[in-house]
Amino acid sequence: MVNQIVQRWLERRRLKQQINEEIAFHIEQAVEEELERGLSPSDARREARRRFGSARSVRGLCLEFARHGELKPDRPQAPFAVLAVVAASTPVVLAALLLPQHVYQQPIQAIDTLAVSTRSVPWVRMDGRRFDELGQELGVFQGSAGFQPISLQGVFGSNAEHWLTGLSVTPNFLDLLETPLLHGAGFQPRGGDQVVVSHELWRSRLGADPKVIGRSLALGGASYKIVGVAPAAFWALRPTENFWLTNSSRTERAWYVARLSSHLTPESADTALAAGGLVATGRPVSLSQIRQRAPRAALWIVSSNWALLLILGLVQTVSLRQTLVGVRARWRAAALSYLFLSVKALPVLASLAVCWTALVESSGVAFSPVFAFCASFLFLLASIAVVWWSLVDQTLRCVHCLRTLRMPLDRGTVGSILFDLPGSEYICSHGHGTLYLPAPTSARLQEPTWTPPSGLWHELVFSNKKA
Amino acid sequence: MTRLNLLQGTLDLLALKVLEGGPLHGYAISQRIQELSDSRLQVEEGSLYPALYRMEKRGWIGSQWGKTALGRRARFYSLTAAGLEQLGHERENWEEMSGVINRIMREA
Repeated sequence: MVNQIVQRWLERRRLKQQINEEIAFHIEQAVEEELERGLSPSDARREARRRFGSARSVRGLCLEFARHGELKPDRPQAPFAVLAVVAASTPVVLAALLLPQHVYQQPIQAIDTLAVSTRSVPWVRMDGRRFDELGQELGVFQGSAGFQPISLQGVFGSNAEHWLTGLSVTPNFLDLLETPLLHGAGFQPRGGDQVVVSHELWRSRLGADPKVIGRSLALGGASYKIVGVAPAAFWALRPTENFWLTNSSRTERAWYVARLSSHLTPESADTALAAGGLVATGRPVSLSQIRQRAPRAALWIVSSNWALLLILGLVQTVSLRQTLVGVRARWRAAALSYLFLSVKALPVLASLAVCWTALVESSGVAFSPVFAFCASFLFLLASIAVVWWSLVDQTLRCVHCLRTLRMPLDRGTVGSILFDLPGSEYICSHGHGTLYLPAPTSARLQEPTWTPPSGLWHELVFSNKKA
Repeated sequence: MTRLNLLQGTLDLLALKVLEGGPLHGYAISQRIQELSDSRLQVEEGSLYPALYRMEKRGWIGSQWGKTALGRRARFYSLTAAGLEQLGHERENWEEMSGVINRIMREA
């Protein structure tokens, strides 16, 4: 095995030396011929090199032909549309496989139901302690529930106290909102002082333990029986809510939320209530005015992908600016390049985001802040790696056919090739041209240049295909 | 005098034909093609070498390092039996193709 590798390396080295010697001989002969015609030595050398064409391309082709007898066939490439569909469906499949197994299944339904309700069966929020009862008497409401924002000190673990915010609600509050709980059966009539904790509180303070149901939680000096854990994306009034409790001693309700009868709009409900002389201090307000909290993960996916897409677009624009100079149909080439880049990078980024979401946001496991930070950082690094790979891969593709360019040849002095980053030249195996990536210098990054095909390429590619 | 682009697919034919006269190095082959065409064929000289390597790999030509008249080291290419046979095929193809095109150009 090692012997074969060494033999192959020696053979390649011998071939390179042979080709270099042959090219050098040819150019020397041509220089002498030009000198005899009366050109100066520098002009003679320049003319000889012009006549010869791209020595680097010739060297690469000679190596390829000497080793394989023909240009190696391209790897089979699936049609672009198939690739696009597969790539775009990957994050969707991942999300379907990973996310529904976790707590996302329910909050999404809850939020969705709420959103639908605001359109087809409007909700109203009103002042007035007896408003719901009167509304039901008039046939305006299907049902109603009361709530009161409160802040209480909670005691966890070693008597550590934390201020928590939540709602004191009527026992039917969560049922009215049709909120499916992650754990527990929810408020029970005549169940005493009960509390449903938010997903965040359950995760951060209660160890994400499903067995917390039935335990006691000390809030504001009183003890509440935990009867449920809300889904991760649920909140009623404010996203910062930590709990919803029922307390027999807290009977005052500042606000009522009611579901309107299906045939009523907020305006007609208002009229009906006014006709009954029941307009007190409040007017029907659509709950669409109460902002719904989009799942944090979804926001993260969208915002991070858009940000990375923006970065990709900017870098790609800079890269294409110089590469496409002199290319025919450059707008089409640029559009294709952007499209290909998007199809390549975005599904991978979205898949990463889905995995990250499944791991950190919705696995139901309590992660420490350090772990969450590290996971976020790793996700960011992975995303940056994807962006970097996408750009490098895109740079090394033909601007016409988007196939991967081949036969990289180092350019530069021996010293620069061995000890520095040399410039490289790549060739499109379908003869669309060559790409030269200059060696980066400490002063600046030099832009790549695309050279259209020469007669040499037409000849060699055509002959190769014919053979 | 207008220079003509080399027709696609004809470089192999030209190189084989030139080598029919005896072993030559790459530069001499390109010079011979230029001479025979009165310098009217416009082809990058470098394109000859990949073609020579390809034909050698296919067994149509062989090569050997030797010395030029001025004592310089160069690689000389020569036609093999398979190359001679290939030259015959290429020539037939060319004559057939050019004959057909000529006929069309005359009679159409």
